[in-house]
Amino acid sequence: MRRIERLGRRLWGAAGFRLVLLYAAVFALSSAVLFGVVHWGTVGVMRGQVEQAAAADLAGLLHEQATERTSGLATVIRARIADRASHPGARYALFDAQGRRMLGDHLLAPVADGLDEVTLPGSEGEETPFIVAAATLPDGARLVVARDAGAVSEAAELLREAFLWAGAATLGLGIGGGVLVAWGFLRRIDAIAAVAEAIAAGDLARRVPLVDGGSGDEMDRLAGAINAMLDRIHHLMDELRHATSAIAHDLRTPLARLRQDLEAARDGERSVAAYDAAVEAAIAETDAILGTFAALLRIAQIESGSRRAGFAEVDLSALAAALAEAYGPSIEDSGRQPWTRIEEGVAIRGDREVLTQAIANLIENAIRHTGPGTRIGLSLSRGASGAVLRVEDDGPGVPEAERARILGRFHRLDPSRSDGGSGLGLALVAAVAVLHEAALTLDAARPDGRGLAVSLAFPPADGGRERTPRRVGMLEG
Amino acid sequence: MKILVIEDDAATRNYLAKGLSEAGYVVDTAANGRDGLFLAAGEPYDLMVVDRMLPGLDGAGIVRTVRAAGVRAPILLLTTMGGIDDRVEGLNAGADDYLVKPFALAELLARLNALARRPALGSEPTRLKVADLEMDLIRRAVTRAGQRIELQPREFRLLEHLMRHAGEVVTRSMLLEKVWDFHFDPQTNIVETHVSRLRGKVDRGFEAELIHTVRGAGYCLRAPD
Repeated sequence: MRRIERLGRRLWGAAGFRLVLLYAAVFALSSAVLFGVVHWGTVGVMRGQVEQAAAADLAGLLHEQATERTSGLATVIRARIADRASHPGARYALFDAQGRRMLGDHLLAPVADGLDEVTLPGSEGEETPFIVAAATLPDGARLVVARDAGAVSEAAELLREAFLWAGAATLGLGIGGGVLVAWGFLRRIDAIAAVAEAIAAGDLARRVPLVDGGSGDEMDRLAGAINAMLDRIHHLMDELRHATSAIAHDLRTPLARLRQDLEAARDGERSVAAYDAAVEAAIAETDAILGTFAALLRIAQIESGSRRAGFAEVDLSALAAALAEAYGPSIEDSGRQPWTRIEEGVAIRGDREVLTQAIANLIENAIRHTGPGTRIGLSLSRGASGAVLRVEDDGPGVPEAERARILGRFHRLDPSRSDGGSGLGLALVAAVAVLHEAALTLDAARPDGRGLAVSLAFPPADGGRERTPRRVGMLEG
Repeated sequence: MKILVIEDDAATRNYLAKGLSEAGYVVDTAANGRDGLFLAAGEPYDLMVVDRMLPGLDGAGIVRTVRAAGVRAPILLLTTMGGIDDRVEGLNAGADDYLVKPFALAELLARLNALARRPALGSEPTRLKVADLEMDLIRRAVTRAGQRIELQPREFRLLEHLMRHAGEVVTRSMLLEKVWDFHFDPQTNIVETHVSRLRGKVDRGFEAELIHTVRGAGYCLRAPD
């Protein structure tokens, strides 16, 4: 019982059910209107015909009286009564000026002139409505004609019953259908709510079930959209979990080193110079840790997409030239050779600040991961679909299998090397690429497989803005 | 020099107060925006240091309010690493510079010095001169002891910035922002490389060095004593 009560409450709460009830009410109202029209059109017309017949009969008899006087009329009426078989529904009565019955049906009363309806016993004794028409004759006598209207009331009765049944069926089917439809919707919404609750409780693997393997109705579309969203959240959570453990792991090392250094300073030589050196080292180590945090926060901020609001026209040619100019001396001083090939007047819509940092990271990576004598190039060209920026070196390169992985956070090609570099440089470049809807590609700079070339292929400057951001990862190697 | 520090974190506030008084400033502190506004409106300060994140009225709100009240003292905002974009809002509100926490005291002092000596608007010089080094900003020409020195455009901007702040410590990150428009910390020693090249042109072959390295802080261009 309680279950049904609860279902009732929930049904009442369901928007679909209330809608169906409203429809049922509208149907009932329109049925009532239809009933009124049909009733007026059939029963009303039938009744009018009976009334006409009674009036015509009365008029005929009055005409008779005008020529044959009242006594002649009485003869005619008597003949009519006697010949009941040919006039089955007709009754007649004649009263004198004092209202006494002179002849005719004893059930008829001397009613007032005009048309009226009375109930009399019918041919089989059942109560039957009659239409009566009465007129006063010139000599004060009153003539009353009655016509059986039983057929009219029977038709009205039939009509009423038919509409009652039809109306009840409409209402019943409407409410029943409403309950079914609302119940169906409720069941599927319950399923979605159950999945949402399970996920809120931590079961991230749950998905909304599709009916019949996805028939493609609105609820299935909703379920599909929710599932896609859940997949994306799941993926992001996985990434986050991975990043968190990577961060924990990566920050442990410098923190442990910092602690060791401080411990060594405490227990070691107690001189001002030694303390100074230890403090310097500790500050440098701390700065490196803070740098890692700053880079992580920066990547997170870029990935959030909030910077897209501040997009403006960026002169990529000027930006690339400025970076080449800024890094040129450092590259030369490190024993490597810089070169540039920058096409003039290439502009995109973007965030100048993070683009600068991304290109700087690529150049710094090229310096850090190559040996002296390497040629490091920065080129910018207008490709078939948009601007293509490319940083390349002819150093040892990156094995094809490794290329996808070095875009992740804290990935270092050579784990034993910890010379600067947070392992976040390329992760930031990847985030900037996604922000700008650019395709990030890593491949060998030279046909013999040596060297690394990183390209950022930006979408066309005009049409690229309104598109939804796409995930950019590794393209073909 | 009177300076007002508005910072809600007690440890940072005391650290700043101590460091700034040791640097010769007269320091007033406020722990929240309301007290800070009260002080800023009542006393003529030469400089203000305002934390971007404050309980109640936040840093940008304070800057906006004091600027609306006609206070012209240079304001330096302290922002957090996470709120890198806060600086845009802060600068738009009327702050003059920003510094990302955590920071070195030397960096803060260098930036406050630069702010305190910022020339009044409209008095832009067309020539800069430090000892025998001269820069003509209109002809974009540099001479030392009458000898012409050829500089790359970026070297010119670097030297210009150092000369405008002659006698002050200019930090690496200040140079990155003002000369290169880099708002991040590159892993490569690009500032050092460019300064060393500039030195090669400006100082090499001359008696006195003008460009000095300040250990742990940055660079300083000053006339020999």
